[in-house]
Amino acid sequence: MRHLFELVSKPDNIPIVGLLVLVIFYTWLSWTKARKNDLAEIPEEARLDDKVQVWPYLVRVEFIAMLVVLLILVVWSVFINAPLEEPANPALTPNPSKAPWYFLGLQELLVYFDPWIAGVVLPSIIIVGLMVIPYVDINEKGNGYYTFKERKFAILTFCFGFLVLWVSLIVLGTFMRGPGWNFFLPWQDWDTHKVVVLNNLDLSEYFGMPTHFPDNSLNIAASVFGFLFIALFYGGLGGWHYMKFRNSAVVKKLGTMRYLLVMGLFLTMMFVVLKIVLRIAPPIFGAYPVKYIWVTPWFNV
Amino acid sequence: MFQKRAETPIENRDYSTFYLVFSGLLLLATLWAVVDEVFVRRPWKGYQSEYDRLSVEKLRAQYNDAMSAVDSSTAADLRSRLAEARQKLDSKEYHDAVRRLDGLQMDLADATRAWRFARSNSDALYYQYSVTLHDGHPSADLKKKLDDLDVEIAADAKKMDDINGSIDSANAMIGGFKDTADSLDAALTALYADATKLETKIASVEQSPLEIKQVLLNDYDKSNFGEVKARVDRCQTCHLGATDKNMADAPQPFTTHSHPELLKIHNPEKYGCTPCHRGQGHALTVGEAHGEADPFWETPILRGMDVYASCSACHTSRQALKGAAYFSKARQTFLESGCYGCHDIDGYKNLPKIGPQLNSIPAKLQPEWVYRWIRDPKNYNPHTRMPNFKLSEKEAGAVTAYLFSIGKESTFSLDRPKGFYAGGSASLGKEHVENFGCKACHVIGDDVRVRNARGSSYDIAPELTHAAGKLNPDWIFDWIKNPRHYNPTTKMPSLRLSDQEARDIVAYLMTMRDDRPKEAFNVDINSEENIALGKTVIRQYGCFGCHDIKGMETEGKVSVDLSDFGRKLVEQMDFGDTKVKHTWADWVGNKLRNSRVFQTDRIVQRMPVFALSDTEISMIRSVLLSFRADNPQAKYRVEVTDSQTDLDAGEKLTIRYGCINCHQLEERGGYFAAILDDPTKGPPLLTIEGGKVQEPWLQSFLKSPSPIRPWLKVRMPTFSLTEDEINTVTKYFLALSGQSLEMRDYASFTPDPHLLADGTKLFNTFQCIKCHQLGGAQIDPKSVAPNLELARNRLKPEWVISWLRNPEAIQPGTMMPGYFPDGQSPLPDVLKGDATLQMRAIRDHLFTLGKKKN
Repeated sequence: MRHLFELVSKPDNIPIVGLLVLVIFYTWLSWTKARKNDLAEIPEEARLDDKVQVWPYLVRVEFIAMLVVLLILVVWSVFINAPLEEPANPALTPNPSKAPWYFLGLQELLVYFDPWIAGVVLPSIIIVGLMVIPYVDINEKGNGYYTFKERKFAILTFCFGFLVLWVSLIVLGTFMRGPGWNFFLPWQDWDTHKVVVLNNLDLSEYFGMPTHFPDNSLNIAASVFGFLFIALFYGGLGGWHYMKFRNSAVVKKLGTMRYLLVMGLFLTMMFVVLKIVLRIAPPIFGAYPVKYIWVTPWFNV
Repeated sequence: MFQKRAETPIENRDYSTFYLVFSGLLLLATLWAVVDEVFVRRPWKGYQSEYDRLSVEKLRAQYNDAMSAVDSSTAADLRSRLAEARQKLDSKEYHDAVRRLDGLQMDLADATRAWRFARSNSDALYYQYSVTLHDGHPSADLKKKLDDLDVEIAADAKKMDDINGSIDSANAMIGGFKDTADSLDAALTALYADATKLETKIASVEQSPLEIKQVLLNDYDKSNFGEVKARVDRCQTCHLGATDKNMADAPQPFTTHSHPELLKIHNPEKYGCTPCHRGQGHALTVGEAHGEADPFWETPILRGMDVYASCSACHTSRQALKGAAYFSKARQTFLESGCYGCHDIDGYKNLPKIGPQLNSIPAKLQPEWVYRWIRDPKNYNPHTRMPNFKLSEKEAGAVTAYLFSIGKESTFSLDRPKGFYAGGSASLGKEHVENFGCKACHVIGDDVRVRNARGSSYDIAPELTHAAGKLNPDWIFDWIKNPRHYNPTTKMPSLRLSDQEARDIVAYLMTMRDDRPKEAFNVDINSEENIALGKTVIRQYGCFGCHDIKGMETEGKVSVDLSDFGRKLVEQMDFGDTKVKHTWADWVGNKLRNSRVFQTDRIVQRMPVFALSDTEISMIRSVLLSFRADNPQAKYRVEVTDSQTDLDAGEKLTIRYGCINCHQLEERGGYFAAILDDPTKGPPLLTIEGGKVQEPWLQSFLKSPSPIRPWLKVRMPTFSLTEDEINTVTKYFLALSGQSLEMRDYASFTPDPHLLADGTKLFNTFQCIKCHQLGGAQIDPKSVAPNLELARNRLKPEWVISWLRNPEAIQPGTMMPGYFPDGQSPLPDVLKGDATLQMRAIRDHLFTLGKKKN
């Protein structure tokens, strides 16, 4: 537990701990408000007729908030020194070598994907996906008031993508990755000498299809197998959903283009989860973790 | 309360309490931050005030001492006389005179002004006049005015002279009144001069501001990125008394530096503190500044003797360092322990191996002994340098088999028929061993005086207490007659033994039986399997690092390079399954105590186990700590000159051949003196040798020593040094005397014929031959000084002069009396009492002695 305290109280990690609390608090706040509104006929916000001017009635409260923040910063600066470490040394990499905390989710993805996929393709898809939201979100409900009932898909997807994936990967990367990027529970000491099993198999190898021949040349059959698996994942799941809901109002309203975009982005997110599960889950059942699903001469997924 | 507030319309809510509370808190927090910044985070201010207080206290005590040292009756007398003299000044005449002087001074000022103004007028007029002169129409009017002015100026000057004259006489008159008082006043001031000086010091300490005191080294070292980097040392902000003699008994951090003599040659204003002591020079709180409380600071302060590890950062090229006897001894221990046999280390490359060659051991040893020796060398000889490799019975047997297999191919054979050694007398042999100096290197029985004097846990030559249990007598005879016959690279010298002397010594050594219980031996040394395994084991454990072994000539060092070991980080060290504290020092200390301590089931360690004493472990740790590749910039390093290189090579060589076991060289060596009843009967001090003897003589002496003091029983051995080694020794001795090797024709020195008569006279008057031997005549048993006939070919002419001038200065404790105290001659009649000429005369006479008359 001493280790956990050391970890949490590190000058670098204090803001992350604070942000965690804030994220939980605001999520809870929005969910309770949404629940209240969903149970009532008319949202609470719509019933308010008491409106006041920003100046001075909002600004004076904000100014108090400013005073409080300033107060916290001053006291903080008295107690906590700048977290300077040893002089930089190009001949010596720190262990663990960690990105700034807000990138630790991406760094965690490096465990499951090749650098090019984890570091370039996935972040680009995330940014593009976020940019696309205003164009594919044609649900005009929920403007100016809290609701869950009317925006189930949007809110669930956000909560899963942001809270479950992004934030928990950051927490994992910050508090549970020690020397050698090995996994440690938060209260375990970071032992530099920890040794873990790193035996992985490619998915095709489960089916007796080696990805590479002994002379290290690629097995085309295994590559085709991987491609088929991914095609099945996107085509199968997407196709199944379309066939089942093609007549629903939402799908009709979205139209082909927007439907394909939303489905593609959603399935990509789920694919990341699938890959993580395929890496973590098999050892629980005594099987080898999956390294790659699809191996090609240019990239591996 | 909040309920009520929520019901109040927003416009009517009152926020003044919030504003009051939070701005009040913010104000308090800001004040807190200021206090934290100015006082809490600046503890050095407290130290500095405390130092000032302490300093003033000490100065005040000194001031009081100085005041009480003043003879009070003298002071009272002076004071009363001064008061009396001052009273006299109160007369009417004196006051009149002073008033008159004041009036005269004012008159003088007036006159001077009139004179100056007139001169200015004159200059201006002259300019106008010169213009007309230049135009060719000199103005007569202006010329007249100028002449008038000149008269006026002259009058003014005269007036000033007159007044000055009056002033002088007035001053003289006043002086008559005042002189007594003034001189009394001066006497009184002189009486209190010391106290006044201290008073000024106290005032300056009291007025000194609290400030950070720092030394800036702009270009001391380089950053990890190779950029030149400044170093700021603020140590003296708290360690204020480092150079203050008053603070010798003050507590830390104010106390005086413990080695002022080192501080004198390493001015802290120029070098700062951290180049030697390390630590975080720019930090100003204790833990951070010492670097011990900051886990990220890679060079924490060096405590205790470890501080000497810093020497080698700048003194890269020396084995021994003056003023750092501990570190010189540490380096000697490091060298003698043979660490460089397995590890590559800068500065320890291409050194001769410390162990004997093992190519012809069947002539010398029995397989049983070799096997037991390999199993545990300390069992046979607890003080051997050979460490314990902890080989299994099988491995040790295999190594024995391999060594005997190559021994069989050796071309070595004894020069004399078997049994030639027989017929010696053990008791005579014992005498020889004691007289000839064998015990300078070899310990026999309980005589451990030289070992104790060396202060090492190991011997540099085998202990002979159980020699008969190890060695073959035929081989011993061959060996002591000529060690290089068996081992051409041995450091064992020849003592020029006659056959009978050698026989006696063999007889004596054969009495050194080994009756201790022994481990059983049943190894087939002829088995091919054993021989092959032996070769593998030798390769793995790197025996060839210390021994020449046939078939292993091209092997490299078996272990890691240590050149940058001092910088190795704890994270890079494997502590195995031990509970050893995770620090550099603890890892190294434990490794040196038991080199297998960090071994685990999976990690095999092959470093042999040494049996070093705790002091030696600390010493070797200091040396390892000094191995850092981050040397400072060239300008801070001692230049690696030829003389430095010569000194280093010589220091290493004199350690290797055990020269320092007998002879003292600077602060090293002379251990053999421990065995002598009369140290003057022992080997001479060699620090001065380079300036003393002629190089050709030194070289021929080293090749084949000829006795200088034949009455001494101890023998200077023949080391059979190579030409290179002789050169190294010569250059080393010269460098010790600040000289370098150059071609000199000593034969061309001709005595001054005019001085010879006086020289002979002085030679007889001073009775030189009372102590010195002269010529090859029968040795006078009372002689205690060298044959003077040798001087001509042995001594440097200029050295003889300085020796005669002051022998004690060259060799403290010498028996040679100084005939010229303070450079004055006791004989004023000879050569007009000119001491230098007399010394030259004696020298010139000396250099004629022993010369064949033509």
